[in-house]
Amino acid sequence: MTDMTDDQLPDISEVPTEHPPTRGTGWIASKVPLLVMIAVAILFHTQMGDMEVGSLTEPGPGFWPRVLIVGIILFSLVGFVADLKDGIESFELSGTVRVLAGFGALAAFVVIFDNTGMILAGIVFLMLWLKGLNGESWRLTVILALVTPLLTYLLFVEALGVRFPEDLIASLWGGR
Amino acid sequence: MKKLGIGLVAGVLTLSLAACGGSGSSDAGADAGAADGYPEDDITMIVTYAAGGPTDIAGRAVAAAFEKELGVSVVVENVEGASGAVGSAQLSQARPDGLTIAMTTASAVSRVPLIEEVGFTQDDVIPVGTVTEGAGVILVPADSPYKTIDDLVEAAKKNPDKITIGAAGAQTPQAVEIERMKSEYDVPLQLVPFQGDAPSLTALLGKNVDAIVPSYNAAVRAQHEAGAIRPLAIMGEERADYLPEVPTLAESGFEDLIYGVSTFILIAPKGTPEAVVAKLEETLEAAVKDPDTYKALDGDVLVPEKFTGSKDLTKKMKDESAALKDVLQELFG
Amino acid sequence: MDSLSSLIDGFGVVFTPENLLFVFLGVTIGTVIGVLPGLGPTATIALLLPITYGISPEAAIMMLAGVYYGSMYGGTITSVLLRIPGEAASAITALDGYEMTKQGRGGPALGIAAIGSFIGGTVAIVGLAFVAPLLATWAVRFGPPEYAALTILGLVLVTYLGTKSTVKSIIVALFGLLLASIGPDPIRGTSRFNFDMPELFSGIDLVAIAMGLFGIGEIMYNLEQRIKGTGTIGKIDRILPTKDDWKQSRWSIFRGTLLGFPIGMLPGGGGVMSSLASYAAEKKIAKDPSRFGKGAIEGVAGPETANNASSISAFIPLLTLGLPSNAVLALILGALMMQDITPGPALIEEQPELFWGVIASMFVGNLILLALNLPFVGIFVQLLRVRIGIIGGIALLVTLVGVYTISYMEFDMWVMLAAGLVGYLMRKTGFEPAPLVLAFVLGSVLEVAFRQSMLLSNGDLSIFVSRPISGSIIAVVALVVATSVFGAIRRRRGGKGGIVEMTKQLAED
Repeated sequence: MTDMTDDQLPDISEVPTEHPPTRGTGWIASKVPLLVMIAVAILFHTQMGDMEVGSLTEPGPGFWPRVLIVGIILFSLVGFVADLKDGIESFELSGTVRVLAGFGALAAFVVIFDNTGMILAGIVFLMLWLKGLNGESWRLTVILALVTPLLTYLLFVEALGVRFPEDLIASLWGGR
Repeated sequence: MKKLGIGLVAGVLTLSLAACGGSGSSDAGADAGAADGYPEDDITMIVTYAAGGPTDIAGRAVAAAFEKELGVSVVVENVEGASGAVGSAQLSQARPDGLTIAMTTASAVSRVPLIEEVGFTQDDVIPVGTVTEGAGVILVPADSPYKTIDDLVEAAKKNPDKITIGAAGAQTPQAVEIERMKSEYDVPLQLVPFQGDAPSLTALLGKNVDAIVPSYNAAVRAQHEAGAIRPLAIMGEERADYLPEVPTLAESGFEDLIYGVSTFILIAPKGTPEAVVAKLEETLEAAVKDPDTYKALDGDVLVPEKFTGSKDLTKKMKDESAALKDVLQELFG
Repeated sequence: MDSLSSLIDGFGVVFTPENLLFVFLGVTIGTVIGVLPGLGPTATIALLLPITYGISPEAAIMMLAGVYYGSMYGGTITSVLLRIPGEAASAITALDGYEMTKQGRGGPALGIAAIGSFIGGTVAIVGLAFVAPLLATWAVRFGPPEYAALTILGLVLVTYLGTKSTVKSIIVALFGLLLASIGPDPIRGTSRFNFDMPELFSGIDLVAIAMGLFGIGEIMYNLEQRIKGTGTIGKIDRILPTKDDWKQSRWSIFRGTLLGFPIGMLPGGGGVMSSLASYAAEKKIAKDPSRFGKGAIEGVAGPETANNASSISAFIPLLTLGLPSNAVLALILGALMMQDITPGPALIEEQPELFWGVIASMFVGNLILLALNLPFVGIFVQLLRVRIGIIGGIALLVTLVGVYTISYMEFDMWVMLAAGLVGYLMRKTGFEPAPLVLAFVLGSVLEVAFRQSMLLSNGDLSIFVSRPISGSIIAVVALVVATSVFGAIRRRRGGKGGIVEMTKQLAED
């Protein structure tokens, strides 16, 4: 696994990584990100509004963003010409579905958190995560899904004095 | 291996629990039911700037004093953004029962809404009273050729846009006064905004700017006492007790430049009953004079001798925004 | 000696029960996550950030620094015993380290790595204690032009040194800079790119971005890969290296220190660069380079020493100039800013307890690490049995809650989720998040410094070259860009690339 601090795992051919980098899914994985970046740059450009750009020697609020937007588009175009297949990994259906489900569980947490508080959200999330996505045993899942949110609640609300949205479960014993 | 898994949870949480070691719970028993009327419950104080900053420190000091005075707990919530306007906007939406109040700056309420669409105006909140007032001080290095404010003005007129003056930000009250000096009095100083008072002080000591306009905070005081800097003028309406020999800008020929003051205020939502506002006002006046709070607020420099209550503060802020409206919209609109 | 007495005061700061606890926690967590393949120091520090919010700034930095240099020790263990680098800076160690394990010398490999790390770390701490104050007195004169030049140098080095694909890291860095421009214009104070959302008036929170990109991105990547158990763990008999081992590696340790210290200070430098450079140097100097890759102890001692030295010296530019040299340091800068401390030339004078306390804590932390890694190495090896999914789930929960507490906005949670998705996709498509985060932090510094310079000089660009310090830095930038462009052309024609390319290649050969 790379640690992101230091930018990159050196290419050590003798060391077999656990998951050998699959040869690129080609075009999609190497060029689509560039299209996305160009789209993002254009999106930002539409939001420039009446930002004054000024000039190199008298830069206004819009000067710097303009430079960046142009730069992103330019280098993305360069990317289309250059070979950017380094480090591309293939997307496989089962893995991608798992990751999307993982993000779904996180989104569920945020929505429940907002409506009925942290504890219930934490229980639901950990159940989904541990049992649904990681296939842990029921016993471990239930224990962790109950204990972790409660401890988190105690830590943040009781000890740190943080205020979360109204907590349905904590209200059972008069907490908030 | 579930043992290890659980051990890890415990580890993470011990770490986190340890992390808050000293701070402890602030849930002082709220014996609300007994009191007749306000406050019947815990109070939430929105601080409209990031935790750890000067507004937050002041807010927490005042919150502690309120807890002591009112006997309910006062929970501080930091809602930062848009120079204090995001938190102020949130306050303006709160139920007007005095149980939600906010610590913010006068400029977040009276100036920012004139510049940006922030979802509230000055009329949507009631200023309760002034907490602190920090007048800007025009400072130069001790070895600067400018001995008086007149020297500085003279030099700026001779070398338009060459004499640089650092401020804590373009929209700070002090920076706006410098811009007005340029537009209303033809003194073409070159304003260089920094990200706060501290970096501007560093720039002054490194001779990267010719002058700066911070408030007389602890770091500035230390440099002044060490003889490294010289104050030329003070940007409030009157001279300051802590720098009695330093003239105001107004008495140096800039009669209208009296708004270069950073003011921390307490606000409540529009519609808060008058009696409640009066109670808050009274509590605030007692709070800023409470010795612990006074010390935490750096009272000798920042707490004005005479307390400004709701009515006077409202009028003061109205006058200020009336006087500055056009300038602000021209500069930042 | 002024520094010496201040340092002694610094030990006074460390030796309080609370601070000692945080140093201990920091280095232990660092070792643990160094061992676990799947969480690197950046992700961990991102996850810990919100928690540091409630403790004193000294304790916070002591802990986070401990995580960083602790992970340099921990990463070695998996490299040597499993051939899986626990974190990137130890990847090169796997070459000779694992060979040594196969030859039954895994213990001495770990032993020499721990000893080398300790020596490299300690020497670097002494260097930090003496270099930083000097640099700080000098840096008081740094004005906006110098900062602009330095950040440009940093960005150029980060994108150039960082990844194999320079184009990709330039795009990512530009994107980070663009994200940083959301929020108030730093000079005028007017709002930019708020997309009509009040939550964006103050810009995007670094913590949300970093936790998403590194923390969530990493955990999701692991979820996809279904990392379960690991291979067979090599056996360790004795830890202490033999006399011969020591004889063979002592000069490697010496050279590793000399290389690691300056590389750590370079923007974009840090662990990977320093261990690669050290490996390349050792191989070059060796009488019989063919031993490398077959269990040469120098190939373990040198790089491990170098990455530790660099993880310490990386604090020099952060604490004296306020400029982080890599993503970990950018996060530590974030932790300081959350406490309303802006590091810069005045830090040593204004926050002596913080500065000297942190330095002293590094001595203590390295001692603890030596103790943890020599006798207790077996315990950490056991950690390899904990399933990453469990840690990931709990970390996600705490992270989401933590980001909410920073400004009580559900919005930040969504930003973090979005950043997590982006981080995961970047990972899959070969983009590195590190330049993004670093650019995000440096972006506003650069814009502010550039525009302030233009105000100071009244629109005269020559301010950047006419001042000696900024002029020299700009010259270095020009040199780096020129060699890289030149190198790229030469490589295309089949020749050798620039200095850095050569180092990379040497290490790979």
